[in-house]
Amino acid sequence: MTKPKAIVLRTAGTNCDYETKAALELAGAAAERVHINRLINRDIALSDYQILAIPGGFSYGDDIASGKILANELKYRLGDMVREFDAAGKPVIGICNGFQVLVKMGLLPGDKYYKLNTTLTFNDSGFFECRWVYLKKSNTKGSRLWLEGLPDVFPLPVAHGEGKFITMDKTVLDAIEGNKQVIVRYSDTACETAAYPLNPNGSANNIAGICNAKGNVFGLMPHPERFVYRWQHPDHRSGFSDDDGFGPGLKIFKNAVHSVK
Amino acid sequence: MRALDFLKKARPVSIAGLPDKELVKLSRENVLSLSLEEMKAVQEYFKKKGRNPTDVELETVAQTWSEHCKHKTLTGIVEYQYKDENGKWKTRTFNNLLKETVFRVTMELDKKWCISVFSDNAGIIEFDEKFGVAFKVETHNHPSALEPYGGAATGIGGVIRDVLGVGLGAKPIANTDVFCFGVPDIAWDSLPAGVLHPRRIAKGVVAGVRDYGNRMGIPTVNGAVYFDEGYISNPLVYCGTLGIIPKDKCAKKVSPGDLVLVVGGRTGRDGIHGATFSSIQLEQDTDVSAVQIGNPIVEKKVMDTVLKARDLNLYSAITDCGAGGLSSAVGELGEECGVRVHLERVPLKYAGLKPWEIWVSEAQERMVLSVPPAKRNEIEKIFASENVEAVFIGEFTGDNKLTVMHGDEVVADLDMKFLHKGVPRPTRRAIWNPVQNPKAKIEQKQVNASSYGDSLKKLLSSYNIASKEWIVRQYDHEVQGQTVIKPMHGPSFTAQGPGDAAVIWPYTVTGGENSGSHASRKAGASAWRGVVLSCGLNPEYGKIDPYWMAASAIDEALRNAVCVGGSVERMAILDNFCWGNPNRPEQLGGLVRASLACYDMAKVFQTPFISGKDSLHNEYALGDKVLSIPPALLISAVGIVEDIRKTVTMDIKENGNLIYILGATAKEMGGSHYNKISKITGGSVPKVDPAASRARMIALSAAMEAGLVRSCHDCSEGGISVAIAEMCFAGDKGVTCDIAAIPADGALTDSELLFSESNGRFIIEVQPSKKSEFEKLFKGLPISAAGNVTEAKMLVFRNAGGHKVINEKIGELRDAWNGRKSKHD
Amino acid sequence: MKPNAVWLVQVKPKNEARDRHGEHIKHDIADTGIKSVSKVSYYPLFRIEGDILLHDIETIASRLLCDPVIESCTIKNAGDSLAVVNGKTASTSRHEVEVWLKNGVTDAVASSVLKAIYDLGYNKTLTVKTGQLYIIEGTINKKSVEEIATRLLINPLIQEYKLR
Repeated sequence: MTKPKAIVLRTAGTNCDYETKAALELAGAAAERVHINRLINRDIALSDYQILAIPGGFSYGDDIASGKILANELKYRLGDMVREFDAAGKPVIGICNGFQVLVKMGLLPGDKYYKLNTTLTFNDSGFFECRWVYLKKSNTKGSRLWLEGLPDVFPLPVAHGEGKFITMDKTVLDAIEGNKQVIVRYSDTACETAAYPLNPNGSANNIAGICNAKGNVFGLMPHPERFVYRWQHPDHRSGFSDDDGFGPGLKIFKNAVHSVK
Repeated sequence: MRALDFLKKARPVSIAGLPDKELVKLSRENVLSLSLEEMKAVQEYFKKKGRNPTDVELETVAQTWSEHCKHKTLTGIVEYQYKDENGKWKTRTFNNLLKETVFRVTMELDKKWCISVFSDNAGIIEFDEKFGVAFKVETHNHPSALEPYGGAATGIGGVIRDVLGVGLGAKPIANTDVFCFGVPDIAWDSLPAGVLHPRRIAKGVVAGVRDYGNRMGIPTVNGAVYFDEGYISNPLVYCGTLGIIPKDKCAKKVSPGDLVLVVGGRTGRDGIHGATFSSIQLEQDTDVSAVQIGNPIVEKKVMDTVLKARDLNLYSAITDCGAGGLSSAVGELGEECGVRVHLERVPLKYAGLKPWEIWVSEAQERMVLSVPPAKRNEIEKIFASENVEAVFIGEFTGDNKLTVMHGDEVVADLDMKFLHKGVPRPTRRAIWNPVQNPKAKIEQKQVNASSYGDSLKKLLSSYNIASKEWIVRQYDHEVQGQTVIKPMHGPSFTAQGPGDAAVIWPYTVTGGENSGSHASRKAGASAWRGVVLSCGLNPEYGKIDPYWMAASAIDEALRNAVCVGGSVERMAILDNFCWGNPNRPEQLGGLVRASLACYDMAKVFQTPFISGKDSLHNEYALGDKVLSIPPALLISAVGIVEDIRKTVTMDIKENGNLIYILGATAKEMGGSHYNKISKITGGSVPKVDPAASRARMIALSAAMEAGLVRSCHDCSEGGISVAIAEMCFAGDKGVTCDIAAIPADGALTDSELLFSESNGRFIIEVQPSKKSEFEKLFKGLPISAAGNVTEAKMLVFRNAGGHKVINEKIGELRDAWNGRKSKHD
Repeated sequence: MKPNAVWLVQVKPKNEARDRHGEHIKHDIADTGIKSVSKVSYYPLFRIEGDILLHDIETIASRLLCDPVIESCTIKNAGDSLAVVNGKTASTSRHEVEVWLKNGVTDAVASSVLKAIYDLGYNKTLTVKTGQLYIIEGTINKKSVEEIATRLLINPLIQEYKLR
């Protein structure tokens, strides 16, 4: 059986591509790091792949705003390719800078006109925050695709300066909640709501990651690719790794691979 | 004398027949930083050529011969006079100080796993059969004093490029940073005129390294911050980068016929005279144009494409454009064969640059490569595919000359031999007289016993010991996903303690295409191998005796690495000297002392030096007064960890465990933090017994290998009490300790046992069931189970009489340590 | 002669949004010893010049320069006064400082903005410059504001400022 093909999209300033690729391969995909110029020049097509990953980093230096320029490049230069990929229901994961890109091109929350009604802005603390947090998963359609088999609470590291999730207004926030599109929230170990620093940026309703209504597009600020091995956790004894020595981050990628097999 | 009137682009500089006074004046006015002797050597060379030099030629010589590039002082002749133990004056002449100390020990140790030492942009040691790891630490002090943000950013940018330019290019996988700042609470009116406030400098430097390092996607995993009033006008900014490199890519070779390719950023007027500027003392009105401006995204793009081209074997050599700009980079690559370049081909940021400006500009984010003509088209495509500017500007010849053109005009024509080997070697005088510092002889005053708990809290909240979490959290130390031992330790994400060293597990590189394959992970012998990084620095000791400062820095860097699982038997070190004016014999004397210690210690520890740098003239002139820094020798250590699954953190793990103290505490309060905060002067500075320390480290490593160590932390600032306190609040556990059981060297008072900073000591947590197995490994070594982990979350130290001389809540100790955590403090 | 227009886009946070950068600058000002600044506001500025009409600038601003969720922007022909009322009372004052890169200095962010504008589909030749507007409020005189500008807001090697 051939492995599903995953594209790890990169451009100037992308940083987390190597480990995201490694995570996807560990999860059973044939993953490739691909520079966006190759898509723009039509050397290859997005439809050649089954999984799209937009990894973390500082695409285009965070110029104007984090993820904005890459978001526009995808929307206006590769809009058809991306729309087609999404319409086919293929899994798209945007991690950290990738989440910012998805939100700033409207693929998330992703109503049919890709409206820009949410954003990720500067952390309440005013500083870049590199720390571990706990995530509480919700039991919804989107979470089933991405978070199946993960414990109710699991840790992942965050590292960002612009991670505060904000909506245009309360109506948008209520709609996202009502549609069950919030699939991971910052929490503490007891699954309760979190204050700083366990909510490292002040996101509304402790939102750490959301998916679109269909559930195939998932964006989150924490980095699952940074906890695929037991040894990446600050405490190597932590019970969050499985007996084979893998961390919960790997399960997220495995779920994506499984969904396209 | 030939007239060079035909020159339009270059300006002839008249030096023929100039008297000494005029030569010195010329050097100063043009910021050449060339000594009279050097100016005369230049004058002589051009006299033989029968003409005057052009401005381009003078600048080339000035940059190439600068202290920063040539390390003239450390590789020069030093006449060293010192007083021995019997009070007799002795003399020793070093023909090449560096070669006879730091470099010599490496040659004598002759470790087979050293791949490249002191010859390239970084040092390289073996990682496994296929890879090596490269490490380089640089300083960027002078620019950071003027423009903290830009200076620090370009400092880290520069050292990253050094590693990218070692061999045929290493992939950067970790950064380190060590800073020395003035004390943040100094009053505004106490600031020397023209100096920025330490708070401003600290914030700017931290932000500069953060923004550049984070954007490059390289985790900053280790470092230190040291505050002292001596660094008010001359902050120190040390930046280090660790890289990984395939073994078959460790050597570079330029052949005649290869083309000169400049890649990356455009050239502008930024940073002109950075190299020569770093060799002079700062003054109130120092010209800020010597500061460079950075753009990390350009460097990231360069890094991505260069590594791609490397793996396709598209170039034969590479180096970074750093100090001296193109003049140094091209000059170095062409040293063995000769080179001709055309400056009009260099892409410029803006019009109007004179040829000499293009040539010596230190504009950032540029690399220079030598490309075999057959690979020309292919390599151009690689860079173009990711929007990286790459321009061919010349070729390597076989004529052993440096020929620089601008259009049809020859603006520089120098013999490589003169350029690289023609610098006159200065002779400097150095003096070391122990009586220089009578403090060393004064007896330690006894301190009131009832205040030890308060002293401990004061130590924990003092600037140098207090939590640096506010810095650590601004740096992405997790990017690349390979940081398995992180800067902070402990199971609680909101209350961790300070780690001793970092460990990187480079699985995405060493696994290669199969990095995602678990099967290959299990099969490979080095599948679980990692790299440990640590550092050692204590300028406080240097105020008393630079010899012991250097020795302590080495011991500290090594023991920090051993604490997390590194082995002293597979460790290399780097030296970075930051000193005052080497023309002052007492200053140079201290530097010689430190160098001697480097030899003595490294020899017995058997840890070779693989790279080093020096930054001299760290002084500030105010009118006729000169403020010189407390000399600082930073020792960075890099080593191989056989199995990252056996690494150890410093947070206490389980109630009921035993707490061992390994290594004897001696009456060595001199230079201690306890003395500093209690305003006590005097006492002996901590010494190092390298053989004994090494034996302890080896035994500790064996214990870790056998899985017997639950947690481990070394003793440094604040001594045993601070070390155990940190382990307690990191693990949120309590410990009770008997002072009488602390291994001691002689009869010490309670305060000495608690706060002395003797070297080579470790706190080790062991499960009671492993007691005999553990103790067997330390037969004959000074070790004892002085305490145990308690249910109660208290740190208790009992004296010989059973009285609790320290009885503090762990939570309060943690609060004291976190007290300065506000980012705006 | 080709028509040429010079537009200035000024981006500001919507009322509820916090101004992180302004807060940082306020703390940094306190670090220089000047204690009487009560508020600092920071607005990014984009100067776009070329054969381009207001309608297109509005599109560029809304699609690229301004985040519709947390920001709003003002667009004017450069040269028109953009200064909000420069009110001075006896005890407080408000100063507006514009910071721009000196002529000839590479504007890295502007290059990114240009690329992004071309991604939007505009293929005219344009020049972009990025700048910053700082509004400093407090009991503070013009001399102190100039000190803040030279010491803190600009890197004198590559930037210059002007008081509106």
